[in-house]
Amino acid sequence: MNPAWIVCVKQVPREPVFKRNAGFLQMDRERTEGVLNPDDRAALEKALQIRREQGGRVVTVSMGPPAAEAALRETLAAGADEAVLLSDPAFAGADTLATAYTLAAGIRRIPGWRLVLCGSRSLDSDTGQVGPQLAEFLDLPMATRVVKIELRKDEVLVERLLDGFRERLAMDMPALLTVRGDGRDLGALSLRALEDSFESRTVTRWGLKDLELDGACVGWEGSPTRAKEYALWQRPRSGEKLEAKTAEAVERILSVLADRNVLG
Amino acid sequence: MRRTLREFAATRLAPIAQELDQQARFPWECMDEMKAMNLFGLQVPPEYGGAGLDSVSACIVVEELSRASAAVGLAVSVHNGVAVFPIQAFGDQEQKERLLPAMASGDRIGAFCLTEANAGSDISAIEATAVPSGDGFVVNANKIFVTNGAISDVAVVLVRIDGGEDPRGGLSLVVAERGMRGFSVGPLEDLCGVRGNPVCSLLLTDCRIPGRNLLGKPGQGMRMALATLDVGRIGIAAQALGIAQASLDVSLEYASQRYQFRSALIQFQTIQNFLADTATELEAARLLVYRAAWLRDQGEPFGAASAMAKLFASETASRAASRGVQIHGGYGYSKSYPIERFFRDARVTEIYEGTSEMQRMVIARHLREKGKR
Repeated sequence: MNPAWIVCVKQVPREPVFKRNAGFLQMDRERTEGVLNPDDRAALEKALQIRREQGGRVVTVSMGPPAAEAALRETLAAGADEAVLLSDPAFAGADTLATAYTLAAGIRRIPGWRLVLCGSRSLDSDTGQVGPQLAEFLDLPMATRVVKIELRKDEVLVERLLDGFRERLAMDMPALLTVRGDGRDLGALSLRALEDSFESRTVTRWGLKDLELDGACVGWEGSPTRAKEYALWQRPRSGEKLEAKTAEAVERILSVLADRNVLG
Repeated sequence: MRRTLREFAATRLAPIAQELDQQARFPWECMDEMKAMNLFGLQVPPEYGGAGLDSVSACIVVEELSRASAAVGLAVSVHNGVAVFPIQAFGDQEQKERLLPAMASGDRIGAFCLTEANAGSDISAIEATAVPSGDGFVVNANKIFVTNGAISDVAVVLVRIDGGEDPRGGLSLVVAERGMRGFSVGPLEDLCGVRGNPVCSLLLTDCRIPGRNLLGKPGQGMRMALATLDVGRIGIAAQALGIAQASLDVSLEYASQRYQFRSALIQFQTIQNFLADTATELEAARLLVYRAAWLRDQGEPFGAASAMAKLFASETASRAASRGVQIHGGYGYSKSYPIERFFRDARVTEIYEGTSEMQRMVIARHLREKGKR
């Protein structure tokens, strides 16, 4: 079987815009420009690298409104072989649980999948939950915050970046990995590939019926999470004014920076 | 596509744009990415390694690049519009196969050489000569203000091959390549704007150019050069859009932040009028530019449309930048704010690829021709 390397991607708003839904605040994804989530770009880059070394095909999967197709087309332009959009009015308003449930159903329909890669976190809601929940639904071993992947015969060696150290794991396949990017992944897209991805490639679309899912477990209905309130928050910044002679001021600035571990 | 370009321009070009201008240097550090994006083969068919974009998309590319750096937008516009285009449009199969792939990939940068000390707007006054010799020509040319000049590997050069009876006839396009004996570039021009582009003179001194580097037939150069300029103008118009947009962006930001008389500048009706006029002219210019590109994509005549687009967009850019300087006040006259660079960059769009006055002549000629019909 031609192996499939799955990459779950999310279209995230460039800037947050909120709306009220049944009294609850929600991100309004239709009123802001959508972009491919940065960590998902990193996951896709890893999958493309695996394909270069191992063959097979890279399949990107996203759950979202029809407009999210643009993000999937971007993945095609970057080199993905197939793209699947899980889209249905019934999927709207999903929290991480309903999203993972829906993604799992979509991935099960893709023949030959061996590895599922997700971004570690999304730019917008930043829960970091969809990957782990998806691993549960698919009953897979999982590693989060992966920065390096190496495939062996039936296992995958991964490197995780933790606070101040690296952890290496050997895992059975299939497995699910969430990948951490550095914001510079994938690089620049070729305009030729971009044009092709919009003009002549297809994005497969599966809805509730195709996935044979229980309507009570998807979208708003299937979501136990209710955000009570969103409010804009600004990092408090406080300044300190030093009035001293230059040499003395420099000494004091250096000692403040050293105290705060800015300088070692 | 616009988003991809905008992201590249904002993250890679914008941070260095001021430095490119101040140091008058080309952004070689971005070259690999620009190549990977197909920026050097925008409208070249994929079989020659290009992106195969339509003209409207090519406009958007130049516009977004120019919004961050007019000098880089210019390099891409000129390479694609007036160096690659004439080879693609007028070259034979062998020439296209030989020259296009390396240009489309960006491995060889192109330039177009028309202007001389005594010929510019008046194309027919060209003094460069090509004398038939053996299977080719011996070319002597002294071309000035060559955009991309110092980094060009392939130059499309307008020369005169013995015009016979007609002293102004015989104009022809030949392709000169870096490495040919007699091919040399002069020092960089110390320009007012678009300083990140290595504009310089290009000298061909007893340069032997093989016959296979002649585009079309001897004597067809005038027609081909004019057709090339029709295309190039759309690119310059797109560049002007980018400069105008950038001017509006920074003016809006500055007017929102600057307080005078206890009020943000943007609260004053005078400033609002400046911004509203710029925004309106910019939208009108954008429609004209895209229309010219669209007509070209449809295979319709677009000479008058591209002249109108270039005329209006370049004057719009100049006005936008000039108002922007005024909004910025003293700071607008200082190099610490980018509007000063936009002001210098905008000015040349009214000059190169045909001055505004030449555009008006082209437009009037089309009016007269229409009148006769």
